[in-house]
Amino acid sequence: MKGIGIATAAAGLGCTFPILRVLASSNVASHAQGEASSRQMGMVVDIKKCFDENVRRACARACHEEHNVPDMPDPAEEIKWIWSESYEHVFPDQAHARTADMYKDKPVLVLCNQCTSPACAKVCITGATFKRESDGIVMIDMHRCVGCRFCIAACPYGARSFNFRDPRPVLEEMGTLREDYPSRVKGAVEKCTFCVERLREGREPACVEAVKQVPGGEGALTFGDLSDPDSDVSRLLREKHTICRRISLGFGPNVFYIA
Amino acid sequence: MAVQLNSNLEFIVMIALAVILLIPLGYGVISSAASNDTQPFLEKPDEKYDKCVRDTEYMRLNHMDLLKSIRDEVIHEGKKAEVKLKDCRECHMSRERFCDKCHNVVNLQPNCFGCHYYP
Repeated sequence: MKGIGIATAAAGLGCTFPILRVLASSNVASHAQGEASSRQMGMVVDIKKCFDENVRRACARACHEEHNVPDMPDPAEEIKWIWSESYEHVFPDQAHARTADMYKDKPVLVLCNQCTSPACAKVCITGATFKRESDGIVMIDMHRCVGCRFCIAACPYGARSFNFRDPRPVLEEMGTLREDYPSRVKGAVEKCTFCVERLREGREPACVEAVKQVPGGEGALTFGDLSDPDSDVSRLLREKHTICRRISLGFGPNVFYIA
Repeated sequence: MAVQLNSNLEFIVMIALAVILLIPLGYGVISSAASNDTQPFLEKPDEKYDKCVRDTEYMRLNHMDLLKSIRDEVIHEGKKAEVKLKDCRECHMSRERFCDKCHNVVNLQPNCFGCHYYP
């Protein structure tokens, strides 16, 4: 009887043993950071090529028309998947007092970074936002999103937008409502998905396809599988010097910039 | 005489009450017999659509579970969709004439159509 008591006490202590906890959490950590076996899609943006307004406008238009993203009349209710911000805002840890004129106040194309360990997925209270294992894309299950906006507060890149009102009347007014892609409802959060619906069909994201049509836009955006060493993005990342947005925060962005 | 009047009145009141109580039942019987309006309207624009993705009885009871399981496979696992809601539109072209027929009878307002376009 006494022996059993000691055994159960030991088992109880074992559960709180630090080594066991470390083992358990290391499993979780490797999961969150993307194991070698799982794929991770990524993008390389050439900042200089995107200085051209036509290039930036072409990809934003292609994306927003493809995904039923409305052009909200009130800027406070703006919804954006891919857009431009000044160099200082995009790279606050790169810009300094003597930033070259070439980059000073220049617009840089920004989109969701599809982070390796995304803050938005960690704070999501319903599990609506998650990191998908099959391609490393940070997805939103719209059926689960309750619109708490924790993810908007958590994302350091401002990549998420909230639907303050039903977007469909605005889309209908604009005449850009696409019937084969779902729009969103009031109270849902949305962001760039790396065009999962296109990837499923073996096509490139809409923005990447759009910049190729613009003169001078070839190579402005390169998309591919980061876990495949022979992909275009992997080759570019090996050859060129690239920077990432706010890398010190440790979320592991997967959109890279050639400065 | 007074007793006779009282029992007459009682009888009339009873009849009136019975009629009032039976009105909803009779209304239902008459209206359902008069119109076939609750039946969903099937449209088959093309000969190639000779059957649904599952048999009719299954679809009638479980179409929502099928759609949900496909949604989980597509969004969470990244698989290719077996059927999309826009494919349903090929045969069941009108929400008003198909989906709403049953949803209205059972007083359901599914929120599928808030995002998914279904005319």
